[in-house]
Amino acid sequence: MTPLFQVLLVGVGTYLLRVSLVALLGRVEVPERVSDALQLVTPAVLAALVARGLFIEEGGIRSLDPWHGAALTAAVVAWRTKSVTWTLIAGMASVWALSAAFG
Amino acid sequence: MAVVPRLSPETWVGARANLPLAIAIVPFALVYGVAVTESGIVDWVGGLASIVVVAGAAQLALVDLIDQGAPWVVAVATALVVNARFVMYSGALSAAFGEFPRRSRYSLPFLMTDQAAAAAILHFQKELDPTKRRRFYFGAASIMVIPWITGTWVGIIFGGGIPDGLQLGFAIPLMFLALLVPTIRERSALVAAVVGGLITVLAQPLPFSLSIVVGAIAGIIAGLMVKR
Repeated sequence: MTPLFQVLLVGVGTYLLRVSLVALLGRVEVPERVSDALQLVTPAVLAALVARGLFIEEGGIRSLDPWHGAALTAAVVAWRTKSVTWTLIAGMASVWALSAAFG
Repeated sequence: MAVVPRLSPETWVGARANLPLAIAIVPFALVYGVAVTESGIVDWVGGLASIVVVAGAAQLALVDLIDQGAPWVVAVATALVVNARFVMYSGALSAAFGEFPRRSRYSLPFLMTDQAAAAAILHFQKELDPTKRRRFYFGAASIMVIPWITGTWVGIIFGGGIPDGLQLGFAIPLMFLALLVPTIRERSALVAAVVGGLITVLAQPLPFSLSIVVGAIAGIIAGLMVKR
């Protein structure tokens, strides 16, 4: 399947997720456990994506490098500021500084 | 001289409510655009995703997985899992949207984002008129979508010539991290994130980039166990 079709498929699927309960007009009550699980989907899957990006490479575990120190700095900034922009700036500045110092 | 389209006051109220967040989305959009140019995906397909998917984290996950050669089922499923949270917003907005004209009821969810849903849920507590609600939502949602699409295309067009020394590869996990941290508001979310990340790394030997889906499911189960 070409990337184009994957993009289109995700587009259609995402629309269906967005319209799901709107279309059902409250005729279906979401069980509490399900709504609890939906709230946990985002942190769980984003953490999985972070972990893969930081710790996995070409079929193995990535060894410690400037990325990990920079990620730690960025996490603290994200926690304190709740700002995507500041997190990006802090993370990229740290990775450049650490690479220059240890690279 | 009337270049600005005539929009109702409620639409502007909605747009103004999300304006700071709309500005904050620009760097994310640029990073996504640059990530597309660095990936093996044809530029316009990555740009098209901003128009048909309109969900940054899922798009970034999709581009990343396609680029790593993941099977299409895994790439599509992972992106849709990232977007499963929209079901939650859909439920929260269903009563209000039920009073909209049919066409709006089915078209407006297309513009749904975290920011639009949050602003609408808050605003609808004090605004009860369906027409005004509809216009507010349209403004709050559009103001997010416009910089998202524009920003990604700017990133795609101007992002090509960025040198490797800038370590833009790091921007992808960094972006996910920036989106992750604000979602951790209670203990169960923290447990879901820690277990999700840990199991993803442990599940790395699994074929087809399945480790993300396996890790995410483990994280959700662990979070539910502490939540009870």
